[in-house]
Amino acid sequence: MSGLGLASGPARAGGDVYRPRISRVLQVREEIAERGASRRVVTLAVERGDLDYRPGQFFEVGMFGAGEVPISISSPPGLAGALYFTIRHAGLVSGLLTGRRPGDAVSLRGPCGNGFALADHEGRDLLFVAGGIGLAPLRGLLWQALLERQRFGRIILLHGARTPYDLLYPWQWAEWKRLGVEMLLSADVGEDRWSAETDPPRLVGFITQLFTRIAIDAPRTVAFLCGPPAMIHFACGDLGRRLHLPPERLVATLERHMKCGIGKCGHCVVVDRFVCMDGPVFRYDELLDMNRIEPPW
Amino acid sequence: MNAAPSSARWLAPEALDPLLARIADEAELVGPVEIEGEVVFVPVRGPQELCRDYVNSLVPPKEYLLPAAERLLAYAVAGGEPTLEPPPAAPERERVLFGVRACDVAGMAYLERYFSGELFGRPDTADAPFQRRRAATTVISVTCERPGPTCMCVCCAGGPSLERGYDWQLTRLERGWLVEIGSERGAALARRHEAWLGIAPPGAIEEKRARVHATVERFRAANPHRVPTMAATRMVSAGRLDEAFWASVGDRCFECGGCAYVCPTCWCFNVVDVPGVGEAPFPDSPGTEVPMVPGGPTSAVRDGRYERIRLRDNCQLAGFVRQAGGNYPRWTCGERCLTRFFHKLSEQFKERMGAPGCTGCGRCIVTCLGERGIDRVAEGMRDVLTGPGRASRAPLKPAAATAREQVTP
Repeated sequence: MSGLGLASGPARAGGDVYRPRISRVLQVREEIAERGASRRVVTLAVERGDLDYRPGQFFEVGMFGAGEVPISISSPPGLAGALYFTIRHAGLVSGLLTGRRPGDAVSLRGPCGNGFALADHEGRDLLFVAGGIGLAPLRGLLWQALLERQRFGRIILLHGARTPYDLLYPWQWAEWKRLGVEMLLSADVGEDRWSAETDPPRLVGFITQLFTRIAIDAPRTVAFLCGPPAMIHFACGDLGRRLHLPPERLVATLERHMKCGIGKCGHCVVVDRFVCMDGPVFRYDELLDMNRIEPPW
Repeated sequence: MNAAPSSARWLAPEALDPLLARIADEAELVGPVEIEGEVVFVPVRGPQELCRDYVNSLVPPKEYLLPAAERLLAYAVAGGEPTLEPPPAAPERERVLFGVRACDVAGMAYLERYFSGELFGRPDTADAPFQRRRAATTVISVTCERPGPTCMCVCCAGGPSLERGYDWQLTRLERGWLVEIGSERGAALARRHEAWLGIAPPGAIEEKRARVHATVERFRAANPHRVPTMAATRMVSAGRLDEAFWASVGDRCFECGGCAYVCPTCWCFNVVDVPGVGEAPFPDSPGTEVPMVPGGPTSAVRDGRYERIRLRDNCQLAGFVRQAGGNYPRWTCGERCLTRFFHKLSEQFKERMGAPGCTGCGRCIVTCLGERGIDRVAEGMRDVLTGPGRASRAPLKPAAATAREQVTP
């Protein structure tokens, strides 16, 4: 899990792990505009420089004058030139980040965490389960799989959100479909007009209800999950019970309050695991093991 | 941790003070001083200021490795453009901590291992400020002879004398001080002061062992507090304590955070960016806003100099794990208590850290307003293990006398 040996690890910034690098915002895309209970979501394309990473890792992205927050990378490592961060306005720093414009400076520290090991699943069918903004960390992984399409079997993406308005990256769905992604949508609350459409197939309900709509070949499938803690809990349970996926092939990413991102500040510790260093990607069997002491979700 | 072999040297009784005076000339000497009836570790000009008769300090000297507040970064923002200030170029001042007790030395060794990144097999994530300070600090431990009323190091492999973790370990013997040197830093200090040090006479090690044994016996005979580590570790590591048990601990927690602040092995910190010295804390000029409330304005922050500071944080405080998105993993105080005691007592953490998370200093017993020091909680765990039926539902048994009564005359 540890010892990635990435040349661009946190230590490179002047030998001091707390010293960030300054990166420029290249592009800003508003994914979701502020409306009702839906917070603004923005994707920042930030100068990548020589940073190397793998999907599932994150950066401590910061606003000078306010602080740093852990943000997952939503672009694949194969994409040169830019790092993509999809950020929801959740608090002080993330709010300021969503207000950045091209050319503005942000601070970067990382990459942090273990990331997904996609190479371990070569030849398998990939099932992505993404709740709300949980699609952001999975997007890099999905793209990595699509860039090496022939190495994997079926690719299924289940994406659910609170409302249809909160579904992420609708502008990219057509391209994913063209590249062979089987996509299904869910919304906890949805209007008739939305649910009447069939492309992609959809339902009004929880994302776990989509599991009854798909047929998978359990022995050759691996599932990657990201979403709110409750979704991880119930989706992992359901995938095991209904679709017979073993815990070792349910891979989820956790999110926790973090300050340092390098296993020092102590905020993200669950049981004896540091989400920032041992995670944020954990297998369901590891999560169940943690759950004996303290629920990780 | 430096793994140099421990070697035994000798210091004549009358040589200690001149040696300390000499050390104080060369480096910053920090030692126990009595201030308003409490012993604290502060810089001293010479050995004459040191307190000679003390059990332990009010707070652990971890302050000298991990200060309560520390600058990690400084930068300026002008017209929205940041400029990082260069890291401090001046080396950390050499510092010698004298008179540190074994429990606190064990605590420092614990922090040293943690901040080195060794825990994750990632030395590249070593904490630079901590490492800088540790490299410039030499710790001279003095073996305890008389356990204090709340001492429990014997239960936790935290004293009264250590096998490793110290730079120097001094033990008072009949005819002088036995000096054990346990690290490369300690060896360097010995080389600088070679003239004061002799070779330990035959039998010194045996005499030390006998003295330590006598101290342990005094503890066993008279001390009221214990950490039943074996039983507690068994219970907490396997998750055998139910919600009701933790609720009974949490019910007595005032969430003051005192236990973690005085704990020699607690490391958690928060990081905040604050306007630097001489800057107004919040802008009042027109057209600028600082969004303090989620969902508030998202305009840029004000120009000026800022410092990124780490401050001690505390897992017993409600906001410790609160996420900006609204997720709140440890809602109840009982859940937060589980986190704390799991870190201190579990096999899992002991294995990762290579040492128990509690060194038995007993400060949490003195500090806890709710009288839920580690001894009472660990005893509660043992009672669940050995007691009949669902003992966890019963409140923890009252102690014979509270720590406060014993400590305060």
